[in-house]
Amino acid sequence: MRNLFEWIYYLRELLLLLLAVLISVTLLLTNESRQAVFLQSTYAGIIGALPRLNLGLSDMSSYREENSILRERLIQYGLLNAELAETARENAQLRQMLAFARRSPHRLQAAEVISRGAASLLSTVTISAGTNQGVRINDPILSLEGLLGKVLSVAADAAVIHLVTDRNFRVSVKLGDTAVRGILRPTQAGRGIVDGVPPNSRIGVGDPVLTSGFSDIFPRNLPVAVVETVEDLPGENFSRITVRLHSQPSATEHVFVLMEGYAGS
Amino acid sequence: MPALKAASWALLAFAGQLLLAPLLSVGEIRPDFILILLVYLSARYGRVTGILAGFTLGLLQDATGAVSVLGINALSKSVVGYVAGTLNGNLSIWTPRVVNLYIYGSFVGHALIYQSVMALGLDSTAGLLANHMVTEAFMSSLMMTGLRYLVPLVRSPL
Repeated sequence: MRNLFEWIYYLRELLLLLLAVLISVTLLLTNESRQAVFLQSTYAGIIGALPRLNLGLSDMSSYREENSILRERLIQYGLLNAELAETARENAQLRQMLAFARRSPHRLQAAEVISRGAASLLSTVTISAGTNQGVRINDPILSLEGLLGKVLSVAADAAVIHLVTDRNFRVSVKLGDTAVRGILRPTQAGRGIVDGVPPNSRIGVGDPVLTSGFSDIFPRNLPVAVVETVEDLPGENFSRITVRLHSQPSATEHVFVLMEGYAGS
Repeated sequence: MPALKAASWALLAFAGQLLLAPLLSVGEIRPDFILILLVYLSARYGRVTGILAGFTLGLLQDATGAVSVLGINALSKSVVGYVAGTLNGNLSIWTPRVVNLYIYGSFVGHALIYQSVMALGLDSTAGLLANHMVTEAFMSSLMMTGLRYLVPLVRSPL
């Protein structure tokens, strides 16, 4: 900084002359006399012949302002684009749901997930259908992938769903096209274990896991999971069968309430 | 009080420029008393004062209607103030030839800038332009030479 001041002081006379000339020329160029008009036109001609210089100096502030406006618009269009993409995705999902509802032999009530609760582990969600839409406690809830849970409590226009992924959820299932049945208990990371399946039951990896129908709540043949591993341990009375659940509650936005008379009171 | 003294001389120069210069004009060219005063001021007080005085006096000269182009005298006299300010401290060191070169050179420079700008857009011929330049520079030089005999630069009353 001190060097700068010293430099300015050293060149003060030249800088002062430059300033005086600059002001004088500015005054000249702002006149309306013929000389000034001629100078102004000459100046405009020189500047016009040097568009890059003009671009870099006189229009810098205006380009900065324009750049700022364009950036703002870019962000706005980005948000709009994301919104449109989300709408398109939702539209596709709703079309899938519509097709699913038409294919299903059950009477279904569509609803939207309106809350996922505040718990760190997702065990319930709230949907936008309640008693006004005919929803009752223990009604099965389906997603496009399969069984999602059951109604835990219900209000006029909302219901709390106990999710199939919650560790306290239990459902009677059958495995593959066999008559082998067991009790599904969820574990973690979207997986579960089927208890009560005897060894050598001809269960294979990839076999579907469906609701058995031995329930007052769930009708039979609702898709629940797919077999991931099968272990027959020596000395054990039952096979250890690990399944991967179809439903992904954290990503589900639209659900169906199964309205038929399987639910208990 | 150098400033007050300089201001008094400036008033006198302006009065001479407004009242006396038209009587001493050669064709369209009038002598420039303010330019003479500026050379004295610059030689006495240096470049910075010369530039400031040149700009201020020139602007006032423009504002009083001496010319129709505002800024032309401020421009040319700022340059003269810078050039003539170089003489400050060197008058007794440099040879008379070098001193004269600075003084009369500044007059030529003033005439060059002033007449060139004034000729812009007027379809002036080169001959006429040169004539005006030479006339102005000659008149200023003549007056300066006469004054230097009466009031030497090294002992100016400013």
